[in-house]
Amino acid sequence: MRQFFERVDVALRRSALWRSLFRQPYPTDERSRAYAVMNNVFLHLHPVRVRQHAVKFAYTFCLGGLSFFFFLVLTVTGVFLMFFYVPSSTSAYDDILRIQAEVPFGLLTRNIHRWAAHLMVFFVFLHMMRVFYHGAYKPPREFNWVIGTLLLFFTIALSFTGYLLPWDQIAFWAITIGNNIASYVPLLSRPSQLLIFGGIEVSQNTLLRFYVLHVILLPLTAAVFLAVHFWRIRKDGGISGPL
Amino acid sequence: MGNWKLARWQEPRVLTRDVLREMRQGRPAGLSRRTLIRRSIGAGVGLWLLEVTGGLLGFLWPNLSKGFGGQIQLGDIVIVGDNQAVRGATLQDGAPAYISQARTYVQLIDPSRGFADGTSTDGEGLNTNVRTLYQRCPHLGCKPNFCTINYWFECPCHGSRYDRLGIKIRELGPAPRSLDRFAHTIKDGILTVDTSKITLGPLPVPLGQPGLVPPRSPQGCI
Repeated sequence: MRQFFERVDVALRRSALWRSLFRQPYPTDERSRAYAVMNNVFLHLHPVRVRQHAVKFAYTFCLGGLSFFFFLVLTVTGVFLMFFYVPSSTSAYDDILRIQAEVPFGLLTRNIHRWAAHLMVFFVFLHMMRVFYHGAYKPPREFNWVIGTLLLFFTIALSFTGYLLPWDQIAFWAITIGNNIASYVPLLSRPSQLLIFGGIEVSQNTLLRFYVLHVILLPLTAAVFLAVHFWRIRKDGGISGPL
Repeated sequence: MGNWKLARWQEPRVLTRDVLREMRQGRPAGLSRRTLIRRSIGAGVGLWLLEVTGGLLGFLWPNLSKGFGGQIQLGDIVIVGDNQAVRGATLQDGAPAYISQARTYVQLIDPSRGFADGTSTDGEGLNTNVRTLYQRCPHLGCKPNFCTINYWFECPCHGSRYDRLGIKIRELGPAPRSLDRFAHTIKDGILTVDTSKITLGPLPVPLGQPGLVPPRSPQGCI
């Protein structure tokens, strides 16, 4: 019996399918472990070796990683919520209530999405402060600082567009106020207002526009910039050293 | 036909090894083929991006021909008066009517009189006895509510206050001016507002000065 399983095991490992999925045997030594990291699309973001100060918790406090973690949490919970939410001015608020009252784990999912959104803004802010106070924005990392600043704006824009979606009183008037603040931009005030609102005031068009921005355009663009952000860390020689 | 018109470098040459090397490595005079193609592609992509941007803006530009933003007929004083902004407070009592379709507060300047036929292009309505106020707070766009305790408008967002005819009280709240007005026409007692013609409200008036309708109570709603 045992022989049989061993034969199956060997046959499986020798099959073309297995070998195309796992390019090398289970890593047992330094060299093969390095290969495993380099050859994996998710692990290759990390350097094969890291310097000792880089893994010290009190240096980074994992703030950038936590920001990205919340981005992932928001993506997953956001997709769940999309199954039950219709961006229509007549049904959006009812959908929110239905998610909370009728959908199994709906209240939990919505609250995770909400709190993760708050925490992401918070941690992005802390991450930026950490980088600033370590002077980690200095050359050769100045380009990555700029990317990070763009990502801050993406985070805020995602937060702002998500705020309208419950379509309750506070959402409606907060977005009205926010857009009116934006309309103090000289020269572009009227066109920008028409384009953001999709009309003269917050309406069905605005809800739909913010929804599309919130679930597709902004996350997708942010993901591209995140990839560049992570790639630049490696290119700039890993995370910055202690002062 | 001869070669006499050609510049020295354009003359045909025997393609010896040295000549070929020179042609490969030397910089061509004028615009090289590579540069020409590269620039044309660049210009093409640039033009295309410009078109896409223009098209996107046009695509997303709202169509404002219908509904709010044009002329809206509101009806005679009975029909308008039925749309009480606050239930139980009538036009004749000095409270406004509110027509959400036109985003308009309708207020009688002298509550003891009715509509008077005429046209008010600036919405001030001294000749028609009607003032048609845009619901939008000039501060940041919220909707001031009418308060039936002091008979003033009060904005719930940042506390700007206006008297019953929409004049901003200078000390109370951040709004830079009074409520904006729509142009309106009254013909045979029928009120029509033109929501495409907005006149900005006048500057705020300090408390206790003329030009301000005093509150009916020192207390407000917010």
